[in-house]
Amino acid sequence: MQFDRIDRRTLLKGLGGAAALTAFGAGARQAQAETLDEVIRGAEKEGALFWYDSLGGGQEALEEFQKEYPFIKKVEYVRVPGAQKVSRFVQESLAGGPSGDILNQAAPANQTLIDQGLAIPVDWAGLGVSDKLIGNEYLISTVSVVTVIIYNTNLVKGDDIPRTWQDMVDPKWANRTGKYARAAEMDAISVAWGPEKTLEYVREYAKLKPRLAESTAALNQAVGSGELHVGFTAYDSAVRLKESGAPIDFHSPDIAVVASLYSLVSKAGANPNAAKLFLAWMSTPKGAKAFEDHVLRGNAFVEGTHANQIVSAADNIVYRSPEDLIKNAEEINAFDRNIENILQGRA
Amino acid sequence: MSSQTQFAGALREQRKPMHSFWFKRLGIVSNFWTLALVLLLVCVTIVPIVFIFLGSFKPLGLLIGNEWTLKHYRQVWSDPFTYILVRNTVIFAAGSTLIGIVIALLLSWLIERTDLPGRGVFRAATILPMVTPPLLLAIGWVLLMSPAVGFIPTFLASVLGTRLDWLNLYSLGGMMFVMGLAYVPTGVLMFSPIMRNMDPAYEEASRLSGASAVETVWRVSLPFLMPSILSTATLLFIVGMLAFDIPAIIGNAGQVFVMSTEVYRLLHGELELPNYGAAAAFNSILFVVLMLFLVLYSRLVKNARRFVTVSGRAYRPTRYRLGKWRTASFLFVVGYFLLGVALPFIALIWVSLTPYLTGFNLDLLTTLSMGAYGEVLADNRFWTATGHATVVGLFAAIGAIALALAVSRVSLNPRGLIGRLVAPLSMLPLGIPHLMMGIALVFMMLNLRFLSLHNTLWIIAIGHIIAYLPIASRMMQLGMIQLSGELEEAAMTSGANTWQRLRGIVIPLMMPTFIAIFIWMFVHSIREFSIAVILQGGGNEVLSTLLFDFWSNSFPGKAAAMSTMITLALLLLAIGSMWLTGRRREK
Repeated sequence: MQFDRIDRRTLLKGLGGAAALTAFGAGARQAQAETLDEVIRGAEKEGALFWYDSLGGGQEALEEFQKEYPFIKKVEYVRVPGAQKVSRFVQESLAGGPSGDILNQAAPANQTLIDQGLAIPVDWAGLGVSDKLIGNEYLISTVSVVTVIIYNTNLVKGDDIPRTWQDMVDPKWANRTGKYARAAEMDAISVAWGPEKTLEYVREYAKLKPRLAESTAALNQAVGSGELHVGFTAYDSAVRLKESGAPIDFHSPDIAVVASLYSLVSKAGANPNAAKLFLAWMSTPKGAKAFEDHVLRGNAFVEGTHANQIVSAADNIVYRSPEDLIKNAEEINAFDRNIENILQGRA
Repeated sequence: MSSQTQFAGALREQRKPMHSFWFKRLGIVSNFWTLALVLLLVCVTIVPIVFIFLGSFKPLGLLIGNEWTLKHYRQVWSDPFTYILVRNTVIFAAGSTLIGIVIALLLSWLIERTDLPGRGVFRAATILPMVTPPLLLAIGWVLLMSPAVGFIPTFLASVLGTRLDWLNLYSLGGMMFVMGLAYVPTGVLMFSPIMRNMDPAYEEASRLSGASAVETVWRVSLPFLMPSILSTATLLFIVGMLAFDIPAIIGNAGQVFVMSTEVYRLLHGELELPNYGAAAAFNSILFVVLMLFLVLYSRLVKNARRFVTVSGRAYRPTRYRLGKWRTASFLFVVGYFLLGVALPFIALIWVSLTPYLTGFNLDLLTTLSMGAYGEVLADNRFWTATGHATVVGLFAAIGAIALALAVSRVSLNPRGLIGRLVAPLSMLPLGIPHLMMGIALVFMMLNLRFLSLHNTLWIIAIGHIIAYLPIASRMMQLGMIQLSGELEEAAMTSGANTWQRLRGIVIPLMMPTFIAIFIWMFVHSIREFSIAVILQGGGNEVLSTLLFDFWSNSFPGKAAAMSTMITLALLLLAIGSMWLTGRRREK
């Protein structure tokens, strides 16, 4: 079903009239200049950090951060399916909080929440974050999702192994292929192909009746078990399954795509300074590497990470620039919704 | 005294009789507690639904701002996909009801009215599927019937030498089948006592008139049962219209969407804010439809009472001889227990032992381990969720007993208009599917933020109390009906007040009923998923939502290990409850 997005003006107007909803609807604000020392002092007072996301290894990553800043006494990571984290975040913000301190997802989707006044502006440069990671005063690039083709090694062998995007729409994969339920890699490939060719490809792919999984991990399990033969997935989640001994393998398609996820600091979170400090730490080579070691999802724009090495070594790689992601957030969201509707048979 | 004061006094005197007439008529003066109970019931049943209904006319779906709109209704009904959803939902609800009713009728009849071998064991075994939550049944069936690796397709392929591609679990048919299996225990619970206590006089008359056994069942027994069948079918249809667990596990995988999964999707969008307005519009329309079905249900239940099948005469219902059908009937019953309980449970155990999700494969025997159980037991989330589920279960059970006791005392002896409102209000949640109840509570807590209920265990427990109040009240009323009124009357004559009568007579005599309700509520609270998943925040995770997270986040081993442990724990609890209530009754 295709619904219009909630009109922002209506939202802000409605929420502005509700004095009780002080944590919601204030709209975008200017970031106040602040130094890392000030943020550290604030984080020291807060002493905790709370985050939920769909990534594996999040708690261990938070504990690495805690080792660096031991005054953060309590770190808590709750793993939730990707499709649930935004609704939880919004619902908790509407209920007056507290919610998670950080929200990490695609920049256009996060921009929607920023426009509703659900995030805190941050002087990222003042915290020492590299310019190339700063999307705007709310968002910084934290992790990159490298798309790979995954296949079951017992069922797909030799020349049958798909290596290109075109191989993945071969009719022989009908009812035997799948991908994460969101637009993800289909959006990223549009940078190389343009929107028309991409939508045409999505329609071709939709004819195969792909399984649309609620997480890449679930998709991988379906391939590992033999329910599906092939699929598009994220590199980090495929590595975990392969290590468990499942009969799968994976590789980049002919045109490699990388989707960057951006994080914001929640307005409804109880520990905004700890959140800023954590995100600033993640932007450092040491933090990004430690994060990648546990979560297996690195930042392609931070040197020294595995993700950066993949991207640097790839001949043919595409990704959306931060400017594109943020300036064209609404158009990208609409395009992605269109992709999802085609995949789900709604359009 | 001035003339004005005198006039006012006279006017007061003049008004008094009218005043007290209406208070008496409404039962307010003499029934303060009844009024309080009605207000409480209105708060927990009507108010949340009103929030949804009003929200459906607000731009954001929440009661914010002065604007009103019909845009959510326009959006819902101008989208062609809505009609596909409605069609799928009606087929799913009707199909699963039909499957559940047919199997339940056959099972009840075979166990209660025939010479089926081992019927005593089967009767006791009907408790097994009751402790298997639909969520676990769905996961078990995915493992059994998954097209490529499921135990059943793999076995059939090895026997037949070819894959049966049409045998697809991830379809409307697959969803209906599993939901139908999930309905069978409720159906058996409804039909068995009726069949067990049926007055055989009419059947005997039919047989004496020369009718065959089949003709007697078709022309005499079935018409007698028809009102009960229709009322049960209506109830199951209502549940099916917004059942979420099985469509979420099976339907989503096959891209077969129904209204419940759509409502969930609207509230869990990733690219946009949760669409409360559209979700409210969907729910409001559905609520009106379901209320019509609830009215139909209550009429059918009343009608069913007209077809009295149990008389006061002492009798023993005739058992039909199955003859040549004995083996086939036995196999049918065994087949049901295999499909409804044993096979899904075996599949869960298998996957809990394998290193990754896979079909049955002898080559993997050497790799089997209890690792997933260790992981679950070492996971803090599991223990936190267990603690949360226990608190929610205890609170829901105690709350339901207290509320059901109050409702039953008033319902069995209603005074005034207000008193008569109690019974229908307590039955209202029967027409509200759990998913809708969860959404109604979300709307309520977002609109009444001063209550600070969000992300708490109490909001889930309150949801469970409301959702299960009709059943708890029914159980309580059945227990209270068996109490002789003479004891209370004697206590009243001796000057005992309500509390003394409750403490000295009602509570001790009703203890077996309380225990039964307590265990039933506790078990159902632990298994409940649809309310908890909608109301969960970061800090109120319970076992069912953790299980869904494990499954959705692709920890099939942990999900299967947890499912196995929950099933065994619930089974032990149910057996313990039967033993305990049995012992108390013996005393």
